[in-house]
Amino acid sequence: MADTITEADVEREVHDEHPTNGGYVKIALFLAVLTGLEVLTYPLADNLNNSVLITSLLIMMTIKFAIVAGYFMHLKFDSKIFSTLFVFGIILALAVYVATLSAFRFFTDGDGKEAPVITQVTSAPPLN
Amino acid sequence: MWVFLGSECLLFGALISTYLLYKGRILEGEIGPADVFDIPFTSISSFVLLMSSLTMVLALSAIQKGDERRARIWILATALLGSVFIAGQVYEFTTFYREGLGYTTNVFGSAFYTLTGFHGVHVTVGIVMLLSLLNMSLKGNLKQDKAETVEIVGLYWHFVDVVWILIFTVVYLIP
Repeated sequence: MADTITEADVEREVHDEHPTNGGYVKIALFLAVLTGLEVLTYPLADNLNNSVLITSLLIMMTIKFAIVAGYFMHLKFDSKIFSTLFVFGIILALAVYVATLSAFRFFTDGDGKEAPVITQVTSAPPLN
Repeated sequence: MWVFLGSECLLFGALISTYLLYKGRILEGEIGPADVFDIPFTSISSFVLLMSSLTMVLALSAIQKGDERRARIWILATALLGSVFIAGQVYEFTTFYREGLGYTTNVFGSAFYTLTGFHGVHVTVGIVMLLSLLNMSLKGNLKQDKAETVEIVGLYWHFVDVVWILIFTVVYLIP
């Protein structure tokens, strides 16, 4: 019996793990709706509590990020090593942010101005 | 590619950190985010880039099934949507400059142009990669067995989209 691969076999194989084209369209529509919701917060910003506004925006951003990385970048279906590499980069990036922010907090007075100099280095007197 | 994307996270992490640190450090009377940002316009740009991720994933799906013609159409659509995004960014930068926000006007301007400019350069590189794929396809060199090449370009493209998801929220929407 000939071992031929039909188009249906290929489609089945591709679709066994990944979403179908219709699935991708639905995901994109969901992302578009989330973007719409994010934009809707802009005219309402004055009436919303700042912490509520920022929290909801960050949650929507994280969901969008996870969906694009998980489904469009196929991280959800690929080997865990890829997710690990990507997440490691994100964690390092967050560490960079925290370190930079901490450095600015430590070495400035919080308003972006340099902290006052406590000790002054004077040049040494001539040797002779 | 994943190691490269991980390192790119660091680059954009540093740029976003710098922007967040500097955006509020403008003197009274200086031009700031609220004076220049046009949220409806940027929202449309964001939507365009988001939809380009859909066309990219459809291109990959098509080439995996061996449908070269459809893959070519989706690759072209992705490149066009990316170009629309870049055109929008050029328009935005020009408008901001005319409104008085230059690269050296203040720290907000420097941080903003550096962050979004770097992203724009990444999108442009992505468009060049997509056009190379299109060229390969037109010459008959992009068959089903080269689906991995399309996947790698697709990963880069989706990464650029993911970074914009962060920038759009952190830079434009969060007050």
